[in-house]
Amino acid sequence: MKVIDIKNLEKVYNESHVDVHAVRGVDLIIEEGEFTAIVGPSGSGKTTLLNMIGGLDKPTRGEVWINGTNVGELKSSKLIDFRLNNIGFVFQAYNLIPVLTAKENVEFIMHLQGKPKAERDKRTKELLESVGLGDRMNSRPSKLSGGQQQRVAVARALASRPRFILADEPTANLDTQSTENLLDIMEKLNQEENMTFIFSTHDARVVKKARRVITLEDGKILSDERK
Amino acid sequence: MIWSVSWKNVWRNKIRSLVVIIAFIFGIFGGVYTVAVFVGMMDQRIDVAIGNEASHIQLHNPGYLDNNELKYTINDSPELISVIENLPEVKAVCSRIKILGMASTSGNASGVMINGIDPEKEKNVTGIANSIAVGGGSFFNGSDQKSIVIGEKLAKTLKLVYYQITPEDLVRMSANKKYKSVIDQIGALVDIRHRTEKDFDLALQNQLGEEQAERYGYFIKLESIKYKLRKKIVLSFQALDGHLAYDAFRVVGIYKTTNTAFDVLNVYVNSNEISHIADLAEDQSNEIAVLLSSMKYDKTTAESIKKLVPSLSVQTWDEILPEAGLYSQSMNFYLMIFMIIILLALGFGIVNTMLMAVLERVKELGMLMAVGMNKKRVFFMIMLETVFLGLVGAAIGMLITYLLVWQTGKTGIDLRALYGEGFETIGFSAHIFPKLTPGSFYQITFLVILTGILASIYPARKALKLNPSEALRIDM
Repeated sequence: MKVIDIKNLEKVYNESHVDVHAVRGVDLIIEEGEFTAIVGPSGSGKTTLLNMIGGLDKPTRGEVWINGTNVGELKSSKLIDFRLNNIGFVFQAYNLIPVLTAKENVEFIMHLQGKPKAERDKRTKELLESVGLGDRMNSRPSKLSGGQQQRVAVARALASRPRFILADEPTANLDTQSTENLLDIMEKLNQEENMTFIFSTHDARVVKKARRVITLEDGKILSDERK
Repeated sequence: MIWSVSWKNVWRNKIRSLVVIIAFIFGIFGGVYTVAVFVGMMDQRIDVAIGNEASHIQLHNPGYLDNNELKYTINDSPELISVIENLPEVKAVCSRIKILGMASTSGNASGVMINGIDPEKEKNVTGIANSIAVGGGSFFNGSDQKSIVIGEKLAKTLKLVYYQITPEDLVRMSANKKYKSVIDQIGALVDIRHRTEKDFDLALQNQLGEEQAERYGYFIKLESIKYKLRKKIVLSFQALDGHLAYDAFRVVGIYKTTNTAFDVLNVYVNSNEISHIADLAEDQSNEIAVLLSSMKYDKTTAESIKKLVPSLSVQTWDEILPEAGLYSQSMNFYLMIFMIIILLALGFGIVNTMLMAVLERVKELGMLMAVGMNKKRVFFMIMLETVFLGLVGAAIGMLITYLLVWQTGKTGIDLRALYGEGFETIGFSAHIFPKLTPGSFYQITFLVILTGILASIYPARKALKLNPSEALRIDM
């Protein structure tokens, strides 16, 4: 089943009156349950592509369809709600809310969705246990290692029960052990819960785990390999 | 949960939040305390204005108000007084003969307003009887013929005072801690008589040095002023038929209020004595003063009296002393400007602080918007942070201000040493008792919090304009 359908996507930035073509005519379909890595050198358009899939950037041309909705046509307020209910985000720098505990960071997303307290508590506990942080629920981000913070970020991304998770260089700031742990957890979630993951990465370890690898160069898809 | 996040965000940068809270505290303290000082001053002024000078209501022959001429009288005063006395809310009524004249001694002369009164009735209406200075005799003792009570300021003008520190004065001052540092120097002045205030000022300056003399002079003069009671004053004025009438009166009492302009002008004599000299009938007067049980009944009672005696002019205290109302209005105006300055300074301080709070969290705010926190909630969260800061600051500020007003309201702020004479010249006491009206207290607190909220709109809007994808790219 198609989760994401990208048609002839283009993004042109105008920097200092010079047009920069970050993404040039990308066509792409992501099926449910895929574990996809988007790779490519710096400036190849990985993050821009991810931002457009996530509705954080507007395409210059082309369309991004998610579950039958053309994301580019959504108004700002609708788009925020759409992201809240359909897309989970994991960022390179974790971006947890520093004043909240691990539990509160995960719960916050469900609060934004208006979920009742009992449901929030139950799911938060389950998610943090599934990422191996059941005993660190009440720790603030500053008391957690980078790897632990990124696992909280994954739990947070899953909290809203999204259609798929976009992860922008999720392992870039992690050591080998933390990267292994994180990838194992994400792979488990992918296999057991059929959660769709799309990464942008430079990391060979991530590429190794991915079952589909899309290589970008100069904003175009250079190759699209399935393992 | 957004409330909880906002509250936690407030304490993210403790020092910065404390600075804003302190700004709120100063804003509230500055505003409310200043208002309390001015309200206290105005209330004291109005109390004195009503208590000693104007009473709540005055009745005159309309012609009298134009030129203060003796011939414009109220006839049948005793009858009218008994009618007014029976009105509800009327506490006391008295009549006065009022004649502009000249008071002379061998030392000097001064224009005065001669108040011919019935001392017993006057005591019930005005507080002059209670304002007799220490050592200043009494407010008529009943037995003396042709006696006069004058203000201290007039006594100074007519050279009826001198300054002398007696051994008893020195003992009294020694017991007062206030004079501890200068009591030895003061001792050197014991039993030396100074004929004028100027002479005494010079002696104090020589003895204490300029700085100490300025600091203690006002109080030492209060302790050592002596009055030449039983001296004669000649009052001269134009009698009803136009001839120049004059007679000598003996000073039996010297009063002192906080309004030297009043003290220098008004002298009191028995109405039966002055009416005889002025050729007035016994039931004639120029003024009837009415004291009410409360100021709030002034307008309604004045209306009732107007209906009873439509031919007379009936004025309330604020019409009689428009300068008191003017002071009140101009003080309100200055207070408003003062408050605007405080609120603007506070507002810009908050804009600056909250802008910093937003700009240093650009990435986090970008993340929140990316993951699905809508603009309304982001706006609400930032506003709530300011409201929390404001509420904490307001609560502490209100408490501190309340305690300080309560404390200084009991002890007073004594500025008499520095500004006593200046304040009294314009009718104000320099011993100020700050007073808080609940209305101004809540009003200013509300304004301060409102300023906080308004000032946070710009930073909150700035947060809304963030583009999540750009915000997330920023390295922080």
